[in-house]
Amino acid sequence: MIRLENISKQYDLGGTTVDALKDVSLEINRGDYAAIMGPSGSGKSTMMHILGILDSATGGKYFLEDYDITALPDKEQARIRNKHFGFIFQSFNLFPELSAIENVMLPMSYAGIPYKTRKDKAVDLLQEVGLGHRMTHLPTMLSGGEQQRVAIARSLSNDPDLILADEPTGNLPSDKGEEIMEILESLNKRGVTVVMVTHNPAQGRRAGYVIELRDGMLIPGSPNLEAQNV
Amino acid sequence: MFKEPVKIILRRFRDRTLESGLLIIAVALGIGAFAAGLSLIMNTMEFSNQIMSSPEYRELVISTRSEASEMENPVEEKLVQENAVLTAADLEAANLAPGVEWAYVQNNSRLHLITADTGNMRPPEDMSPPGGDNAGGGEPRADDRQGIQISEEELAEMEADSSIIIAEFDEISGYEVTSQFFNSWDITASSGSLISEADITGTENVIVLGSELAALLAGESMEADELLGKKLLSREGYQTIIGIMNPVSEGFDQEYFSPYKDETGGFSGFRRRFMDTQLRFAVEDPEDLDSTAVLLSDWFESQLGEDQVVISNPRAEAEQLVSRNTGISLLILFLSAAGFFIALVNVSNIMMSRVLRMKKNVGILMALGASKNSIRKLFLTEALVLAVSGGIAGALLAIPLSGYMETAAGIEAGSWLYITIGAVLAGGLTTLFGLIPSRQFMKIDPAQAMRSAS
Ligand SMILES: Nc1ncnc2c1ncn2[C@@H]1O[C@H](COP(=O)(O)OP(=O)(O)OP(=O)(O)O)[C@@H](O)[C@H]1O
Ligand SMILES: [Mg+2]
Repeated sequence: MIRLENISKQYDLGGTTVDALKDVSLEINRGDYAAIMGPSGSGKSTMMHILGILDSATGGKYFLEDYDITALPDKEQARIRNKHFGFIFQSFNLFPELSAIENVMLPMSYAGIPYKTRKDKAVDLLQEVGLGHRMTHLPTMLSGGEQQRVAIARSLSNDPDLILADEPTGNLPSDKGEEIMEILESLNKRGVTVVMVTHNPAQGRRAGYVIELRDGMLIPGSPNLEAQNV
Repeated sequence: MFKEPVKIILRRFRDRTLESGLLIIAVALGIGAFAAGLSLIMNTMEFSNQIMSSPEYRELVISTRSEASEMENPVEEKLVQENAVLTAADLEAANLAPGVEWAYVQNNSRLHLITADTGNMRPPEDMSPPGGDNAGGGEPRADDRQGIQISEEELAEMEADSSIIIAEFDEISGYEVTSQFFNSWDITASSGSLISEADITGTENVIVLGSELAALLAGESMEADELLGKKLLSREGYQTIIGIMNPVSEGFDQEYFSPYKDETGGFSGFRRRFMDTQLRFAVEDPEDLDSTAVLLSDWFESQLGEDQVVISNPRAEAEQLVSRNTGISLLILFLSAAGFFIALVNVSNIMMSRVLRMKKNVGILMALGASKNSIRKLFLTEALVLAVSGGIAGALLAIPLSGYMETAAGIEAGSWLYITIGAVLAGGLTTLFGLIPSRQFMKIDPAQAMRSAS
């Protein structure tokens, strides 16, 4: 589904450059459940951003379904993010001005879905994550776990092929985190590809495989690299 | 129903009441000042063009010096008056000045009508003293009116006669004119004829009626053009109505016009003594006014002696007034534009801080599928909300403001057109300035936007 070839990412800090990713090549297949792990500052978030076309690599190539999308026009990038990717963030990133249901409806408005349809879909999704009774609440009126479940419902609104979750349980107590993990696992069972950054080794073990980063480089012997031979 | 991203913008606007309110007030004041200033200058210029194109401002008015001086010094005036008397014959001065298109006499005049009520009464005693009480030229004096006394029986007979018009009001004002008056003002007759040379040399009393006066005299029982050929009863005698004018814009519609005669019938010598005749010379091209004035001045000097006539140039006076008004209006426009610009810079600043607070949200919106184009549209919505609400409030502010300024500048009710144009123009500029801060998002990646605080 996704193939990265020799991806590197440098940040230019006025004189000094930071190599956030160095020559990373990997492949993620449809239906995979991958965990990205590594110490702080090792490039996990950078990797997620590049996978999600939220940032552009300074070197290398990105193939999506064998199409080279390394340098797509902005409008095309936006369309792919909207229709094919779902994002879940550590800090939830809900819009405080919008109610739970409006937050879930938002990505559908960019897909051009009519009001009634996106509202029905949002109701279904919120019920699915157990928030049928919180639809019109503003995010500030919801607990962290509830907010993250709204964010998951939002990420699912356009039926994405790939969920990208950067430390989705990082801001949650472990029991609430467990709820999130269960939702992600059930999504993966339904065939959605899930890539998740985590610091939690237990969560890493529950994934299909772990991509390990250190200083912006993939650790050789990482299971993914043995399985694929890029 | 608004789409969700637009709701974010609108609710942010609503939730920050103080900031949004101040923004709108700043914009409204700026737009209001600018629109009022623009409206003032445009209406000033339009009004100036309008009055400058009036025939009145293509004329030189010649009157005897006595008239100008008599108010201050009546004793001296008598001496002067003996020398200088203007008559229609002096209109031939026009032959010497090639720029002159039309030359005519136009004197103020008045008719005292006999009504069914006042017919048997004596004419009023309180006639104004000789010498004229207004600057526009002499009016017939008491001597002129002593002619007609009518008994009740005679009046009843006249009322029965359908060829005689007895008015319901006892005075009408108008002008004694020579025929080129009508050419100069481009006046045409709607029925009957205008005053011709024959009427001026003839002995019959004839008058031409302005359209509104004709309607008033005809009353409800008659069509106005049925007045033609009938005789209007006045103390000065019967006035045969020979024509009715088409409406003209210059305030002549309520007046009558009678032929100017140097010697009023039967009272020879009267005009010579008491009436000041004003001669008017209309040029085709206002550029010729000054040179024509010199030529006319020479001619009258050779005819009447030095310093006997005053040549006034209404256009020169009006131009002075117009240039003063235009100067003041320009200054006001400059000040209001400066105020508006300062408001715009402030708006841009406040918008910048709003946009910075939105930065992380912009990153999230992009992650969820917003293209840069749709982000731009979103901020355009915000700028438009500001510009439109500020523009409407500003226009509402500008209407009384410019109305007041225009009254002060002596301009007739200016149109709202320029306020609207000004508000739309200023609203457009506000939108542009409001958009400047969001341009930063056109260059950055979503990841970069999302990483920002807030
Ligand atoms: N915008 C930036 N400008 C400069 N350097 C950056 C920027 N973003 C990230 N970096 C650097 O790139 C490296 C990788 O950062 P990244 O956020 O990917 O790490 P991470 O693995 O997600 O860490 P954490 O576990 O703390 O989230 C770090 O050294 C970081 O300082
Ligand atoms: Mg990170």
